[in-house]
Amino acid sequence: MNKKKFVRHSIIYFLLILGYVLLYVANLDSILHPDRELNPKSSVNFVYQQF
Amino acid sequence: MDLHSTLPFSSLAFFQFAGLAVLFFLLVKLTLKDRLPYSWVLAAFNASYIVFLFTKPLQLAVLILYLYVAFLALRKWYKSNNVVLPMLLLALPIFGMKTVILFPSEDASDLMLNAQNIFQIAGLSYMVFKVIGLYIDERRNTEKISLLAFFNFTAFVPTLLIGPIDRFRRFEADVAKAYEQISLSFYAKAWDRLILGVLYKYIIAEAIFRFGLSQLHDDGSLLYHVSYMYTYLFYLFFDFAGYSLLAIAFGNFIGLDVPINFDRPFLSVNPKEFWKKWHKSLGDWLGDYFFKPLFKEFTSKKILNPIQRQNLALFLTFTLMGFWNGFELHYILSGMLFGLYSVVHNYYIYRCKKTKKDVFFGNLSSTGVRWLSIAIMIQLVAFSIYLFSGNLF
Repeated sequence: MNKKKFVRHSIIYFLLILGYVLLYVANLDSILHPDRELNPKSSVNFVYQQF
Repeated sequence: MDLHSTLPFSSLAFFQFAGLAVLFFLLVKLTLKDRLPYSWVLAAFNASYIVFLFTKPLQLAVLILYLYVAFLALRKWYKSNNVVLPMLLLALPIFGMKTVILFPSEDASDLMLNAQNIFQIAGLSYMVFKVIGLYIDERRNTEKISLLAFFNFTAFVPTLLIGPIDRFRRFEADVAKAYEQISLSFYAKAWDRLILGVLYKYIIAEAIFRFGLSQLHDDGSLLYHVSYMYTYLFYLFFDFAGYSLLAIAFGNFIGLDVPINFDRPFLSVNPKEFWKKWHKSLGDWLGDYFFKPLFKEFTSKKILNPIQRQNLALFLTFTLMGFWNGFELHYILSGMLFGLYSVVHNYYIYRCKKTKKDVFFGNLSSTGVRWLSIAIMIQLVAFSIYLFSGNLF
């Protein structure tokens, strides 16, 4: 694996792990906004618009 | 798994199904490769998904059968060069779906509700687009296209819902070598795309939604609209590009290449390049099967002068795209606006060629022109996508 690819992969995996922990484990948005009803975006809402 | 409620990449159940499918294809390759053609394995896989997991299996089966019969009948009996009638006939289910969508459920009669239930099939538009492409490409070809090949092409699970829109001959050539392509190099390629797709869709798009879009409060100010415009643009890109990467990765895992759909669209310097980089398969489809035949038709009838013909065909192509997204005003205007961008750019190129100088950028260096073009394109695209979002009206 060349250096460029290694750096790219490191960034991707770092963001993936960090994002997973913050969004799905710690639920950061519910900590930042405890009063707001958690309503995660459906992953395919956009899809439905275009049937 | 939840039966009959799982659309591709929309739930954990689908990913479980996908994991089992990858294992299934590998096992078949290792044990039955010489005795069982790949196309049969692929058909079994597509059929299993439709029968056990797809939301409306019966309706989808009827749709595929309708498209196959219509395709065969048109190829056999329709000899005219004009492809408008065949396109309309193949697109009938889309017209049915778009028409019934106009009636809100609460106001609809029982008949209309039944019609909505029948026509609203996830993936319908993309399936019809693929078959129209197949008809136009193969209408002069006498080679038989079996129901098995047709079924695999139209019902290919990874691209069933929102593409990328593939071409039949490319897909068939890939199916022919799919066993060989189930290999470590394909797995490595698939894994890279899977990881990037997950990052785009489930981390970045989700974060943009949770911390961006859902936090914006509509106070009617210009700042709100501008913030929403840019946030939505990036949300849409990461969500859709992520989905496309997942579809491509899944295809790679089972030995098939799937055309790319997004390729750094924010570096586009003009509308034409943008549609080669953003939802590329749709841009190519519209260019090949709508713009070119329309332009040819205008040319054969000598309508307007060449540049006006081109511009009219461009504008109508993007207007069609707007209508395809939906009959609501925001979709139509968004499509028309993209059409207008293309017309203006086309006219700019024409003027530059005619006057032998850059009529907009003047003597600016090529690097300056490039970066300024990119910056302008991002603003134009952001505004058109903002119209598309329906947040403005």
